[in-house]
Amino acid sequence: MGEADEGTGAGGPAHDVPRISSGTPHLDVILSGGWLRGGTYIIRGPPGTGKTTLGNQFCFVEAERGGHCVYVTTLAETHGRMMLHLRSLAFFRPQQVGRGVFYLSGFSTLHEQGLEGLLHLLRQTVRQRHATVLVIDGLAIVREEASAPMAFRKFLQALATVASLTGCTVLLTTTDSSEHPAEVEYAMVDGILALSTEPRGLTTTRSLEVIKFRGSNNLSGKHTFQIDNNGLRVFPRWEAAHPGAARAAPDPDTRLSLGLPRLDAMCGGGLLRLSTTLLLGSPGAGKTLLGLHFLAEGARRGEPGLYFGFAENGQALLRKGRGIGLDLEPFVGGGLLRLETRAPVETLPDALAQELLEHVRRHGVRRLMIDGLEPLSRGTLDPERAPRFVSALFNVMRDEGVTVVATQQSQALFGPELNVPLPGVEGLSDNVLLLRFLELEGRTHRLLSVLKMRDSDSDPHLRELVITSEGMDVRESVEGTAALLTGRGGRK
Amino acid sequence: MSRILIVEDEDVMADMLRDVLVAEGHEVFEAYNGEEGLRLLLEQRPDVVLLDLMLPILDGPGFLAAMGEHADFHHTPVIAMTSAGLTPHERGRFAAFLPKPFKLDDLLRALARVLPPRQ
Repeated sequence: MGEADEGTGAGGPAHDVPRISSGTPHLDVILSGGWLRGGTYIIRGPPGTGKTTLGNQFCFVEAERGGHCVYVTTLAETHGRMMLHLRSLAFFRPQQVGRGVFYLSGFSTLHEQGLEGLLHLLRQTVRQRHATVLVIDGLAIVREEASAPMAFRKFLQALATVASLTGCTVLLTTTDSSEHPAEVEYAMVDGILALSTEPRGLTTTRSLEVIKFRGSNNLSGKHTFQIDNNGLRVFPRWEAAHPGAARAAPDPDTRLSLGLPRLDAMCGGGLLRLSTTLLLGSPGAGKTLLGLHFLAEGARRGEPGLYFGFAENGQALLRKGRGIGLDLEPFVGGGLLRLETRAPVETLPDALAQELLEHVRRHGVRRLMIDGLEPLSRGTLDPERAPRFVSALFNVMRDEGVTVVATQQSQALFGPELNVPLPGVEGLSDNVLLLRFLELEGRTHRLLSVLKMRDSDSDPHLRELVITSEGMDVRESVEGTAALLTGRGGRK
Repeated sequence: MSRILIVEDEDVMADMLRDVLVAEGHEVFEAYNGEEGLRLLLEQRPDVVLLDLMLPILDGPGFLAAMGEHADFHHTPVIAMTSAGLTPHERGRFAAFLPKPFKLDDLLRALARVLPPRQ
């Protein structure tokens, strides 16, 4: 019932203790498999950070698995108000209220009979209801009612004993956020999960962190989460959840066509399967169209493709393709090509990466275009994380059997400088193609060059990329000119 | 004036209902768990019971079952107040059903339906 997969923690006793899934997607990854069954955990955070949602989500998911949960409130919102707020959440099952999820108020017992009385009530209720989960929402009130720290310590110890003996997993929510490591409860419980909110510009980011987790590894550091109609969803820090190098490597025996024969020739016959390619270039230079060509060619060959971008929606992309004679609609209609667009400002990078992975797995994607690595750098992502994040993203996609084309926009339209928002990504990519504008004798030209092709021959010449309503094509190398790559070249 | 027994573990809710019903002219008894509720039922013999279903020690269904063992209370109306979803069959055991959160007017209307008319 609700057994989670074993975590990736160290061997020894932790593997012998059964786990219970937290019921929150991907939180089990952070906990290396879920809570330890029969353990006692504190969920702490300021009001509004999601403690009640997390506790209720755990209960309702456990109830759906056949477990029995008791949710005890002290002095917070009434049960009726809580139901009102929970009703809009996808995990809420009204038929479980009073059955699989049993709500009680512990405050009057606590106030009249103290901690001993509350403990007696909890002990009795856990046994009566054969509870597999007990949530006490409002540990701070219990602490206030304690006559002395020792009484509170004894209460927690007794509660942990009840949990251990019955196999009931206990979550204690509290607004106490003391940073003092010697606080009583820190020593008495098996783990502590801290929820917080941090302002980032005009938005707020929610994050959680495992402060303590006895007997098991966990993914350390902060991880972002969201609360919406689906409940609470956690997005483990991508590079922490996917450490290490890719197991797969680019396939030297298989080349993927970009759909433009002369471009394929520039790349030694096409892109190596499972490689990552960075299309780097000025705005409007043709990065998106090249990427769509790559996806369309794959779809033509029966390879499912996914476009994941942040600017143009599906209709705009179809129009864009039609504008150069590239009809994507049959591929989209046939399910071989998916066009997904996300709002760049509100996207959490870890959520984005998780969603990408889910898309890839659900649809068996083989060719992926990430149109715009820049959104990952816009204030939502610590600049120091960016290379590690992108590296982990590329590695995971490679291990999923996906060949990736990603675009990165240089800031300038013309000129010698290539100001890129995510420095270092070109080093992480197997292949780098540069597109930039050149003004020559009163005309603008699009220049295409292969700056890097790992483990492959490539054409060292600069060539012109021509985009018309008839299509895209790569023309002969631009002869009789010099210093074009600087953006300020000219005739020799 | 009627005698009303409130069995509700959320004391803020029980206290609020008590204040409202006392203001309406009723005599009110409160219990925070089913066991205490049963004791007050036998001791005070109320005209109506407002019963929360999710209760500590002895829950609502347990209280109803114990109440049913006493012939004196076979006709005492019980109004259920609960967040729990009840089947039509389960609701049939009660004189009225108030899903939480409910408004005080809903409670007063339900009481007016189940209580005998005032002299």
